[in-house]
Amino acid sequence: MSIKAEEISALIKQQLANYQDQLKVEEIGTVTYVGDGIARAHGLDNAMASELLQFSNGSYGIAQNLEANDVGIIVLGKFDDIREGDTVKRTGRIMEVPVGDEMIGRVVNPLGQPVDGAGPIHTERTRPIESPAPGVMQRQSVDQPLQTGLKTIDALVPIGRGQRELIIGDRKTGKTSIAIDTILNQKGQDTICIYVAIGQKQSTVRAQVETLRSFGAMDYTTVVVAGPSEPAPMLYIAPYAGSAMGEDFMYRGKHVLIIFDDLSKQASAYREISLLLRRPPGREAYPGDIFYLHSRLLERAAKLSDELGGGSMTALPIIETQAGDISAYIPTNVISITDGQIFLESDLFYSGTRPAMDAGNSVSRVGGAAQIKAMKKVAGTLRVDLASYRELESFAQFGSDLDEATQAKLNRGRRTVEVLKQPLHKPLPVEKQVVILYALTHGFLDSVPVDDIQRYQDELFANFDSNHEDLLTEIKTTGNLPDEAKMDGAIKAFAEGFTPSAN
Amino acid sequence: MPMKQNKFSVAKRYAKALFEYSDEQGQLDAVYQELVTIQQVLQETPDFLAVMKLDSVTTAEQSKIVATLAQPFSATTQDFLHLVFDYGRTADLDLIIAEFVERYNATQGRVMIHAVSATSLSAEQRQQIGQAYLQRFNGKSAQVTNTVDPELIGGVIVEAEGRRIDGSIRTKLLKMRALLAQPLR
Ligand SMILES: Nc1ncnc2c1ncn2[C@@H]1O[C@H](COP(=O)(O)OP(=O)(O)OP(=O)(O)O)[C@@H](O)[C@H]1O
Ligand SMILES: [Mg+2]
Repeated sequence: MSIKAEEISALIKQQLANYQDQLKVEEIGTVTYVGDGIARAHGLDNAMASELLQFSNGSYGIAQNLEANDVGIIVLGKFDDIREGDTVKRTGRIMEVPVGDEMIGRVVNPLGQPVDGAGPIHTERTRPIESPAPGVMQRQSVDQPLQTGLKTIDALVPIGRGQRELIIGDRKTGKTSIAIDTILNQKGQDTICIYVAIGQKQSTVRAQVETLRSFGAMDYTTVVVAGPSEPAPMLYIAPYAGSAMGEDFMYRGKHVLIIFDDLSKQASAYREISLLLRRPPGREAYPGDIFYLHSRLLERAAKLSDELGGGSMTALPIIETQAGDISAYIPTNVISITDGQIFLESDLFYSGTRPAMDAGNSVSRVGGAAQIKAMKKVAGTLRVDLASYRELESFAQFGSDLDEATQAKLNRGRRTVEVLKQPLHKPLPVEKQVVILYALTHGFLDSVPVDDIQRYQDELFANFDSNHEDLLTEIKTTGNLPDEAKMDGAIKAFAEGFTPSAN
Repeated sequence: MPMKQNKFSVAKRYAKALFEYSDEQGQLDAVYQELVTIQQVLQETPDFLAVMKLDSVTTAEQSKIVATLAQPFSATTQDFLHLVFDYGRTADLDLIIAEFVERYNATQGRVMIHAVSATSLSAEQRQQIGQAYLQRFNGKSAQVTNTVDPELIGGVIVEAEGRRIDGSIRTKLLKMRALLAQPLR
C-alpha cells in the first residue's frame, strides 16, 4: 500500500476551509498576564521584535520576547486597567515619537508628550525610537570641536562633534553638572541639545530645567524625563526616544548634543523588565543582551558625511560607579563602546578640586583632531605636568630637602590644579581658556599665591576684554595662537598691576 | 502560568520515544516512510499546524482533522498521532517529525545537507558538496538540498548536523568591512 501525500492533503484542505477566517486573526493576541509594567500575551505569531502593540484599553506596548505563541510585552504608560483576557493587536509599526523644531524648549516624557504644562506640541513628523546607526560610508571622521566650556575637559580630553564621551563617577561627584554646563556653553553655537533624565528625582530635574531656563539654554534644548516612579519600560526607552529626537536634527544637517543621565539607571530598569519577562539573568543579574542595549544606542551618535548634510550627534552618556569601581560590568561595557571617558573622583571632589576629573584615568580617543591649534599648543604639556605633580606630591610630604627643580615642579603643579578648577555654570569660551593656560604654561602664575589664582584669572580676563580684544578675536576666528611677544606683553602689563592679597 | 517547556526539547523527546518504540516493534523503516509522507502533507497544507494552534477552534474539531490525517497509516503511526494530539503537541508535529527523521538518518549514516548558494547548484555540484562533506566528517551517504539566495553574491553556505560552514562572499566582505572599520591605533 503506498499512501499518497496529495490525497491526504486534499482531504485535510477541505476540512480546513472552514477556518480561513479564524486563521487571519493571528494578528491578535490575548493577554495572559499583566503586572509591573509588563504583560504577556498568547498569539500574535507574526509580531516583530520591538513592534508597537495596542491593548484593547488603548494603551500601547512594545513586543519583547518572541516565542512561538507567546509574546512578552512592555507596557507604555498605564497598565492597571489592562486585564487578563483582553485582546492586544499588532500595529505593524515600531514605536515612534514626535520630532522636529517644535520639540525645542519643551520638557517631555519618553513618549514625546509634554509634561511641562505648556500646552500641546504641534509636531508634523514622527520618528521610530529605534533606527539603524549610520554605516561607515555615511560617516566622516570627527574633526570639529564640541567645546564644553570647562578648561579641564577642553584642554585635556577634548571632545569632537559626533564623538561619544562617557562621564563616569560615584554619586555626587559632579557628573550632571558637567553635562548641564556643557549645554549652557552651546549657546550661540547652533547646536540643539537633548537632555535625557532617567530615574532622577523630580525635584532634581525641575532644578536642572530651571537652571537651563535661567541661562537661556531652553531656547535650544529639549528635556526628556522618565522619573523614578514611572514604570521601568519608560526608563528603558527614554534614551532611544531622545536619540530619535536628536537624529531628526542630525539628518537635517544640524549639530546635536545628547546627554543620557544616566545609563546605570536605564540598565537597572532593563534588568527589572528582563527578570519580569523571565529572561535568564547573566553577570550581575543583567540579561545577556545588556551590552547590545548600550552599543546600539551609542552607535547612533555620528558625524555624518557631507553628502548626508554633515550633521552630527555627540553623545555624553553618564554612568554612576560604586566606590570608584570602573571594572564593574556596566562601566566596563560602556567604556568599551565609547570613544573615551571623563572619570570623576570623589576624593578630588571633596578636597575641592571641581570639576573632579582624574586626569590620569580620563581620555578622549578622537577629540584631539578637533582641538584648535592654539589650545593644542598651550595644553600640550598639561597632562604630563599634572601626572608628575601627583607623583611628586605623594613623597614631598615626607622630605623637606627638595631640590629647586622639584620645588618648581610642585609649584607649577599646584597652580595647574588651581587653574583647572571652575565654578558651576561659568563655562568659558575657548579663547579665554587659551589665555589663562598660556599664562600658566609660560610661567606667569608661578609667583602668584595659589589662593589668588582664581582672582588673577578673572581680572586677567576683564583686562583682555577691555584692552586686548584683538588677541581674543584672533584666537577665536583663526584658531591660532597670536604672536607670543604680543601675548607676553599683554600678560606682563596686566601682572604688573595685579596686587596679591595681604598675607 | 508555568514556564513553557522549550518546544525543541519537547519535540526531541517525542521523537525519541516513537523512534525507540517503532524500532522495538520492528517497524522503524515503515514508520519512517509514513512520517516522510506526513511531512509532505504538512508542507502542502501549512494551515494544518496553524489551526492546531488556534484557541478558537474546539478540541473536538481539531480532533476530526487529525483523524483525517491519521486514517491512512499503520496502527503505530495512528496511535502516535493521537497521543501527540492528546498531549496538545500537534502544533509542533513538524518539529517532532524533523527530529525523528534526523535520528533515523543518523543511524543510517545518511547525512542531510542543506546548501545555500547565490545561484542554483547543478546535480553534479550538489554531489561534490556531499562527497566533500562525507570525506571531512563522518557518514555513509549524503543528500544535498539547495536554496538560492542572491544576497550571498557567490560561494556557498553548507549546513548539516548542526554544523554551519560559511564560505559565502557576503560574509567575507562583511568581515573585511568590520576589519577596515576598526580604529587605527
Ligand atoms: N564645579 C563645581 N563647583 C562647585 N560645586 C559643584 C561643581 N560641580 C558640582 N558641584 C556641586 O556638587 C553637587 C553634586 O553635583 P552633581 O549633581 O552634578 O553630581 P552628580 O554626580 O550628578 O550627582 P548624582 O549622583 O546625584 O547624580 C551639586 O550640589 C553641585 O552643585
Ligand atoms: Mg546627577
